Amino acid sequence: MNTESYAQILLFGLSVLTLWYFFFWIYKRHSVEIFRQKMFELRDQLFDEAMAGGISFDHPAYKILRTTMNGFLRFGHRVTLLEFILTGVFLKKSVYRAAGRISFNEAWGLATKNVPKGQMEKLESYRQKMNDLVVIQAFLSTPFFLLFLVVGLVLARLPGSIYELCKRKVFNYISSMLKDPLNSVESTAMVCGSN
Amino acid sequence: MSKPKTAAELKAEIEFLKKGQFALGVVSVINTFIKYGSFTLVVRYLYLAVSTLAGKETVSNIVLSLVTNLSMNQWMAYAMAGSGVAYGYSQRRLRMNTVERLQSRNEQLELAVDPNRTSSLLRSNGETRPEDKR
Repeated sequence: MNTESYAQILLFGLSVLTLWYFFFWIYKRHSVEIFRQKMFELRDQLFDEAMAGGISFDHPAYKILRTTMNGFLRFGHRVTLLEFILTGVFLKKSVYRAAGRISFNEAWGLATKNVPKGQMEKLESYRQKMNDLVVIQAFLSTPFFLLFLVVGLVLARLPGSIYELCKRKVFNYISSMLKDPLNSVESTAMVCGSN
Repeated sequence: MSKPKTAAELKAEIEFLKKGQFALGVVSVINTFIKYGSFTLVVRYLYLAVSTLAGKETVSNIVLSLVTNLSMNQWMAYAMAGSGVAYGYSQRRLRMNTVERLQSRNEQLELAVDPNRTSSLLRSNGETRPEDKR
């Protein structure tokens, strides 16, 4: 092998190391900042909704949503697919109950028991948007995100309406698969946000 | 004042915290393995490729070959990538400074409307607090 080939190998290796640094530091930090920015926007929308009289600032459902969003904002750097799954495995509802803590689902059920239908739809839409952000971030922050990117790019090549349908189907499938871990993550965020 | 917890409640609380910390520990170990495992692999293969050169070529020869064999197009590509990184970094600093400048005003205005307003406890520039990092 001549000097030129060695130089090329060295250059290739250094380029791979640079990409490694970009992925594990710059990209990860950037994806967390985007996640926080979107979560702040959602929290601001909820605040504006309350200011416009859509819901009281003292309503338990408002407080739960805000506290959980605060938890996600504070620990946004820990929202990963792996953490998602392991939190679901280790912190089941029974563990919360035994520790005298209430899970997000239980707290949400109690807080929204007497909420009128129209208001409930709005509150549920905020919860759904919050969970969408968390699920997307969990996938974007995994080292295997390129696989999801490939699936996304393949879907994007489909005609508009089919693309939207497939996107929604894939998203719903992933959300249903992650339903239990998501409930545990919501409960953890609610606890973290109230500290 | 709230009622003091019983021994059983405290035990369950400790169990809850232990499980939470265990999950965090497992995640941390796997993430560190992926991150530094990939780094080690790249460095290992780079080393294997370059080690066969020992005693045959000098570093200066390789660097000289690297510099002289890059075409103008390649230099331009590197310059553009470098400029992009510098631009991104400077925009990030700018955004963080703006967040830091505006957040206290926003907080004051919101507190006037909702005195019980709760916070995300992030730093004033929007970054994670050092005690929340791991």
